[in-house]
Amino acid sequence: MDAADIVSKRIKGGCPLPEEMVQDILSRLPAKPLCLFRCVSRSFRAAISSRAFQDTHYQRSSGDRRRLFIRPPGVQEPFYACRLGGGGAPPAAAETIVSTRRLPQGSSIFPVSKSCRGLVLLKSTHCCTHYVWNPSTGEMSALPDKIPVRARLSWRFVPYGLCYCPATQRHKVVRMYDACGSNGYGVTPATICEVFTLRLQDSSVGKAGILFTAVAGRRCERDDDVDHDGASRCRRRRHTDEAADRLGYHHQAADDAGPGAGPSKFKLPSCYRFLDMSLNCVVLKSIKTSP
Amino acid sequence: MEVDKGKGEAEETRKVAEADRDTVTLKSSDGKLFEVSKEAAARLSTVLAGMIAGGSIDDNGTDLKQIGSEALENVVDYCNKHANSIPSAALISSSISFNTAPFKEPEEWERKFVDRLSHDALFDLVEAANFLGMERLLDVTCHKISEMMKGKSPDQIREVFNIKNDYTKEELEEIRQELAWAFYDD
Repeated sequence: MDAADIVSKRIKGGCPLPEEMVQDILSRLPAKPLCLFRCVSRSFRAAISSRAFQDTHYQRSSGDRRRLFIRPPGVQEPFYACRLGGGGAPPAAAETIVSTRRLPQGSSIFPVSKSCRGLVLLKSTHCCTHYVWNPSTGEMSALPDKIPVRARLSWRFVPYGLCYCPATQRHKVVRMYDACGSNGYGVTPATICEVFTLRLQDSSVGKAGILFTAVAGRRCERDDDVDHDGASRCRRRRHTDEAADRLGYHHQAADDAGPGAGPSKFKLPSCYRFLDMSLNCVVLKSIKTSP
Repeated sequence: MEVDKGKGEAEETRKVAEADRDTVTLKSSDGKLFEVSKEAAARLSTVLAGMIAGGSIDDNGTDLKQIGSEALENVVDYCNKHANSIPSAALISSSISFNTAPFKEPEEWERKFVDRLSHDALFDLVEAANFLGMERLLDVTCHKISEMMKGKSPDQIREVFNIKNDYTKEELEEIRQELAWAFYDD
């Protein structure tokens, strides 16, 4: 290609850069403008929604400064992010990442998981709804699940956990509960573990930008070892260290050790049950700050 | 190390006389000649390093048909500036390692270097850096473009990248509604 070609390419129109260079540039952007740029063109949206791109973006942005999520106590308080090591009391030095406007009305909402490869699990006190939240973009979607009937009968608290499976490259939501036999008499407690797969949105089909839709599909997890910590961590917590996400959900800080904590593993009893939800989700992580 | 803007034969003869120098001569797509120190070229560009090692450097000007003279001038300028600045450990390591390493912020002189470029010159330089395998220059230029994109509207992005909006009005409205949170600041 000589100079004349280069010039004519530019006059003729078309992107001045090869596609892979454009993707390289895009992968350096924080998540929020990226989401907006999905409406630039179809090819932009396809590029941004692809899993390969999101992996690159995730790797690029994982070198970012660590952030701390702060959620002041109170019913309708926004979430803040502030830089670790920085002075100044939140929220003065912090950036609002979920405003009260976006929180579901009339309920208190709090995180129940650490940031797990870009996503955080939130729980609302209203009807015990769980949300998956992307703190980088502010996107939030309710999990289309219900408290299982058997758990309701035993009046037990149902803990939820969020994890990322590198093999399938999917986020999964795990919940565990003890269910008593429905006849009520025989004490036949069974631990039930349900694994929900969050499915990445197919970029060529469907709507752009929606985190989750649809409930369908099935998935069996046989004889899985389930890390008990994943479920037991679902306690009320107001601080979540976003940087801990790369450690996955095995990580437990010293001050975090609760009952049943530690890397204890156990086999699931045979009476497991399977559910699945196919969810469309966009995973982008970076709350980028300038140093 | 002086930038030769294609002044022609006089330069040519001088170069032949100084055979076996510690510089390499590069020739742009439109035939202009540029000189750059062999050491800097080999250190900053994997492609040039390969050519130097493989002996495919032409003393009369190594043809780089993909790169226009303006971009090549910037490349050479960058190499010279880089050689003159004290190479910090950070820079050296980032010029070797690839891609997944977290990006090191541009140094002051690098920032100035890309700030003065026009959009077109910047795009050309990205392509040149990509072609020559100049990891650090690519990083700095791509970073500059991404900085430029921040805070721009989709319309402005289309303009900069010369992209046609291929959505229908209805589709666009739908996406805008779904992305409502991205359109306002809170």
